[in-house]
Amino acid sequence: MKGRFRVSMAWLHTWAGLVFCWILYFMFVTGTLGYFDAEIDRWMKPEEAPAKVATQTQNLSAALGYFAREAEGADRWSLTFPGGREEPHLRVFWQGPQPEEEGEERASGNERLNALTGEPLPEAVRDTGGGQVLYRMHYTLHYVDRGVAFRFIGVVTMFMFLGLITGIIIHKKLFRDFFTFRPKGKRAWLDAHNLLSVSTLPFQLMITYSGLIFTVTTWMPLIALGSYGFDTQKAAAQLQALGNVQVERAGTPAELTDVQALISNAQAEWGERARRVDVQMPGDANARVFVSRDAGFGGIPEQRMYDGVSGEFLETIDPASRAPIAVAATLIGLHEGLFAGPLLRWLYFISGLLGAGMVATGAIYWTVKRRKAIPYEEQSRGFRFVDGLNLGTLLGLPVGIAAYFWANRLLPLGLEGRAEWEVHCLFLVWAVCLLYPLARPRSVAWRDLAWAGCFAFAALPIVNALTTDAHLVNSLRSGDWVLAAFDLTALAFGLLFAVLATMIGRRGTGVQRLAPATPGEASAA
Amino acid sequence: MIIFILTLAGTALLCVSMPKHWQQILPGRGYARQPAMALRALAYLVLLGAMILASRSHGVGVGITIFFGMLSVATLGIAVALPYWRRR
Repeated sequence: MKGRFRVSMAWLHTWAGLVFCWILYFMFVTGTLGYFDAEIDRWMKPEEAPAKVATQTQNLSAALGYFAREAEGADRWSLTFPGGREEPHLRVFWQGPQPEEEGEERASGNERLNALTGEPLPEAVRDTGGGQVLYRMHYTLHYVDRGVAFRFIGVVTMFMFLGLITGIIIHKKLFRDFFTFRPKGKRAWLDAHNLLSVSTLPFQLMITYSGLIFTVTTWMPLIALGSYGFDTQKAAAQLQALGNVQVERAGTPAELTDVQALISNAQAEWGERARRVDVQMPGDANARVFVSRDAGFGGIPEQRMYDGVSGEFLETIDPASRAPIAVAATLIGLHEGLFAGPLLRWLYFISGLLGAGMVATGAIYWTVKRRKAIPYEEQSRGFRFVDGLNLGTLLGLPVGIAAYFWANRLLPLGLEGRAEWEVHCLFLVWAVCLLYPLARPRSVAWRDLAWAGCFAFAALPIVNALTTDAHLVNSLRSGDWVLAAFDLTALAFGLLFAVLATMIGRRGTGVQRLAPATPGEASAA
Repeated sequence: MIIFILTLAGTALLCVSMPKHWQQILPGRGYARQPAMALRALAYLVLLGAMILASRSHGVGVGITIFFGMLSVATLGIAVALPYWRRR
């Protein structure tokens, strides 16, 4: 029984894995880059001036001045103090009253301010999707309709989870082979696949399971239906209202209290700096001020609510103190790693790449196991199909991503729809990589694309230096580590691809080793 | 840094204590069960120490996350280095 169970699980692992491996690889790679989304944003907007350092009081008065000028009579003012990697500038947001007529758009504003002058920062010179588009691709698939993409991603994630579970089941000697890696011989790819999976298993289980939590309301609507019936509006409203107090307007004007005093009070209570301030119904007798601290592990911040006129402390709002919300928030927080400092962020990045490596080695192992000792052209059609997709995706996607960065520097600044063209470049180059193996003998194509990857990444700092002032020499000299790290990481990837290319050149891809070289190959190799 | 060194040391000890790698790393010496088990206990202790140290300095949640991340890197590093050990 046990033997047969394992065999059927192995079947499931093999085929489910094969069907979804390329999309999973895509999700792993783009998602992993998402851990450095803000840093990539920064690199892709080299003209943006670094944020001015200002005191909390300066920030606050800049924001309040802006609101008084631009958002008189608004329902909500919100300001986020600069801090962390996500937001180096002071950000202000306001929302006007609910429009009377149906279909009318609600007035609102969202700007970043120069904290010293109180003026909004100019629009970016360079129209770019930045790291955000790259990261969002990871679950929106970019060209696909949101709803469809999200459902599809849910299925893929489910199969990823299945892949992990069946993988654990069919791995016969998980502990005894814990450190096993035999780079020579037939088992090399399987060893590599096992090693990558087992050594990063905690991360993979966490990232996949928490990924599933994101899609829970899409794929398990019955839970919500049980409580709310088919009134999805009501459900959504309730979800929104969690930790979100909605204040009614009294109608009598009253002056807003001294907000700085409330912030100081909250900070004294927490022993840590306030991150955000929300004012509801400013200028009304019913005004409320909410001071939030930094979101912790789970990503939902604790707030203190004050009366906006008398300045009296009313209550603490902490949705994360409820167990189900805390669990969901913790899992989602773990997935996004927003809380992670530089060390953990790099560990996340490495683990994500290793995850991509796990998928890639699995996909390659499928072909390695099935290739026969005959020339490539005589291998079965399925084999050639999988090998072609492997080549075009496993190497083609990174080349495409490098092209995305190249496009950011090389596309003319005035180009219509420039940000969208950056993305087109990614997918166009990837498409070329997918077609490339049709034009060249396979073994040469593997090596060529690896060299292409090497060139595409290693030359990025050079392209950067030729087109902007934000190049490596300047960024290192001024100690701008975010920019420098991007270029250095690009160089590291170039090196990685160079190693890969020489390895393929020396040892072939296995296919080449077994097959007698065709005349074309012999001269090329 | 010290957390990573501890994690690496613990993982390495764990590796040596396994019969298969014992012979790889200490050639010519037969596998002896008792010292190997002692090594293994030590390995788990060191790993536990690393985990506690990590959660002391980064907070429990983040610390354990960091520890697992480092464990992955350490395991991978040792496994990849192993086949090249004998050739030096």
